[in-house]
Amino acid sequence: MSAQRQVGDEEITPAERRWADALTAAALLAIGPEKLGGITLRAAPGPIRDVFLQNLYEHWPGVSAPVKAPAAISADGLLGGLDLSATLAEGRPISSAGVLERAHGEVLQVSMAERLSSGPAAVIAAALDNRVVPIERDGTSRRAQSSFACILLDEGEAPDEMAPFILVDRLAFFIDLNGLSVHDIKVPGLSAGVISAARTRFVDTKIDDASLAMIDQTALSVGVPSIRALSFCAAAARASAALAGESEVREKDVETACRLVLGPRAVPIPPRDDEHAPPPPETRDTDDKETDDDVVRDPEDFQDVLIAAAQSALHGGVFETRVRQMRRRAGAGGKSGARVMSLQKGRPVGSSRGDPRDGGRLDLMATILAAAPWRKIRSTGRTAKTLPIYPQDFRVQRLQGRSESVVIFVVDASGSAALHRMEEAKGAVEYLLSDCYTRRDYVALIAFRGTGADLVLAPTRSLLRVRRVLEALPAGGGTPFASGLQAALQLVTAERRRGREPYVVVLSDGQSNIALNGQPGREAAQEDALMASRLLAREGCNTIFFDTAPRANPRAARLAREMHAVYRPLPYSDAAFVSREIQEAIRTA
Amino acid sequence: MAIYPFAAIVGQDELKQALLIAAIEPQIGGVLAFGDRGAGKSTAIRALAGLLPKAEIVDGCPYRCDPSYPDRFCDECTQAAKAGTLKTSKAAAPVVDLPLGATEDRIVGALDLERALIHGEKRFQPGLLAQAHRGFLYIDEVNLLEDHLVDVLLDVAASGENIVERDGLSVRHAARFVLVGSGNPEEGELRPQLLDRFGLSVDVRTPTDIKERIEIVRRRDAFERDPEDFTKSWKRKDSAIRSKIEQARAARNDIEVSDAVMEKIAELCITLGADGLRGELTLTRAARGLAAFRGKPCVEFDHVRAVASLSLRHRLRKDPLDESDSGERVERAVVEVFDA
Repeated sequence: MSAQRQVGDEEITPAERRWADALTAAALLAIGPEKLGGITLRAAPGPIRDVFLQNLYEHWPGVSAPVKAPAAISADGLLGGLDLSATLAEGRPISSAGVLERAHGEVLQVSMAERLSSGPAAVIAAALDNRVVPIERDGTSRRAQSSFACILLDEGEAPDEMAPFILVDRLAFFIDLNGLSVHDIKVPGLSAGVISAARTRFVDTKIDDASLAMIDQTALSVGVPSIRALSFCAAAARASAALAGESEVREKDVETACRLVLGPRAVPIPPRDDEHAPPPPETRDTDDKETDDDVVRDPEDFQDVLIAAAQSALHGGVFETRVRQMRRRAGAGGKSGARVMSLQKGRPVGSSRGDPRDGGRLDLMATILAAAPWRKIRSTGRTAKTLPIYPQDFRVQRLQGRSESVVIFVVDASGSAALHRMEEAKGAVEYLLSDCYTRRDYVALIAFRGTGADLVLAPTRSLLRVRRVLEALPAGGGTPFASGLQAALQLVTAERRRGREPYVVVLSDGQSNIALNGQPGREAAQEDALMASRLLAREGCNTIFFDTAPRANPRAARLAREMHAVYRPLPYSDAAFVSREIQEAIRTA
Repeated sequence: MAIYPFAAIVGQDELKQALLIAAIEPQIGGVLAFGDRGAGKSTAIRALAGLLPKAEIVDGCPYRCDPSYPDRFCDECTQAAKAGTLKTSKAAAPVVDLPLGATEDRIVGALDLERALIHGEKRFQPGLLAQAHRGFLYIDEVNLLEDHLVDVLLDVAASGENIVERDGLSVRHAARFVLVGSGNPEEGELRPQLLDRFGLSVDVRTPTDIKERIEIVRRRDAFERDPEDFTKSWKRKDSAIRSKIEQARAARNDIEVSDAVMEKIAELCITLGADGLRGELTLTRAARGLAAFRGKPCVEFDHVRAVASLSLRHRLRKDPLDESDSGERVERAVVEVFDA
């Protein structure tokens, strides 16, 4: 089937190898869906993804087409809700089944999963865990069977645009097809009968303790302590053995499982001491050459082979990246767009009588509740089963904006802003966050250094993330001030779209020597800085400029004026002081 | 959904201890389990449902009224009591799931839609808070719960009463429950007001011992293969724990807390700067619960030590510049206070 590797291993190209792995993962999932959860499929929409999905569903016994869910799915869509027309027609509450209920025994496919927000993601995750969804909505209280495999179609481009980790973590496989083309693949597709047979064998396929220990040692060695990953790996090894017609897991299966399951989860090996770290290895190691011979190996050697296999994945470290939320490309925040229908959004504060045609959203429950008591009176003379609803029954949801704010720090991390100021800035961010997380403010951090700006920390409320990211924040190099402001500008517009009010806090000495295009040159750089400042001013958001120069710098004051910011020269001081100043400034700005 | 046997849970000693203490001493104010993904937080919490001792309830009462407190009866029970038709029975305390995506009307209760539509009758349909009365209310991914629902919970948890004024209904009923929450800090912090509600806080870590880890996977697999058989094989151990809980519950109020122990508790709280009386109270109750579970007549220093982190780690003032984990800070203070 999938990896018909005997086709001639030496001739197989890295692209074909990746494709073979993807197909193997698909086959293993179809064999043990209830144990393996599903696949996060990271790929742009296109022929290669279509071919993969076609292969996946065609050969999946009992499944012909997935139950589809859009990323913007609401709680109603997932869990079901009151069915308006049926309820009115029948004169009794009728609820419609949500996607999770309809997906029972099937495959749930979420498109554009990188846009799925945490609320709906957590609901899907709970269903994956329990295989039952408790439905407590709109007067209905019941439990629905909901056992399904999940395919997340992740179309994200930037490393930070990824399907919610809470879900990715619950799916055994992570496959990246980006960069592959249908022309690259010569490996034959799956064959149907084999999978059906393997599926019946799967239940009785055993894994011995020694293999399990091997897997676990490997998982721990590559920095994957999660028990869930270990279970996935064990199940994948069993499925692999079942696929090959075996009743016991072999070394080969263990290796396949480690590569497919642990590979994407493994923490990348830290780069050597080089200042400019080389990019992670783009090509797969050659470790698999020895895999196909069934020579009995020394356990220790085999352990090394496994670790190498787990670390050889092209996309190793994606999980880690996700956890750390290290947003490498500034401005990426703007791409993820508004979070439509997030479970956490738009707080309804009750409903009031009104006409939905005026733009309000009909509160169905409230409307029916308003009409219900009158049913008998209004129906007199008629024997209608239906519920008469009069215009005065219409209830419209009142939503209260949460008026959340996000504080965007733009921090000079260049060599000129001596390192200790960096420490102060770090401290201030942490201090501010812990201080005002009661108010549920978000904090984001943009650092500019070298030739550009990074969104080091996307808006978050998590102290833990802030701490981790700050610890790892590097400093040094040129001062691309304008790039920093530009990144802030992008984030400001993105956050506004999300309905949050941005505050910008700039910490810099006003120096600038790298222009927007990344080229050195003091003059061009300063011109760009002024221009970016004016653009920021046009956004009209509250901005505070902390001049971190040892003595107040007229250039910094000028920039602050251009960006309509409150200007504060900052004497050397501790983080707590900076934080107080910032809070004061926010209050008065 | 079959429940995983509590006794079969490998490791997670701190979480198990916290849950047992909460079962013995419901007034402890709930348990928060925060930590690593996939470490079996919700399995352990749900497993508790199989262990909770039975309590007297009014037969068929949707509010789970307690026959020993007639003054707290709901309307129907009051009437039934007057008429002398009150029947009681014993039922295990429930562990009620509050799933994400639940709507407010189902949590607090609302007009019974079916009755309203079909009979034109105005009648209250009790929600999850009523179901959880005298039991446990569990929220997985508690840090993702919508803010307005958190407000509702805070309100009810503080007063022990659910007051509903909606859909033209005016209802109040007792709702005292042990709040249990779990989550992963990566998804966001918990609101401080809510954090404060939890009596005990567990820092859940994934075990790193290979033997232990393999045992976890093996047992989980065995359970999934044949839940009935697996549960049966652990039944004896589970019921042993249940009877220990029952005994501890009966004994907990007679357990002595000496002045020496009280002093140490106060000293510990002062050393840590843990806010207010609640820390001391929780620590005392937790230590007493543990002593009761272990069948001791009085609280010993060791009991206090064992539950210090559980009771205090979330009450320390947050110092963002202190890198060490709050559990470690408590442990340091414990050594200082007890070993000095």
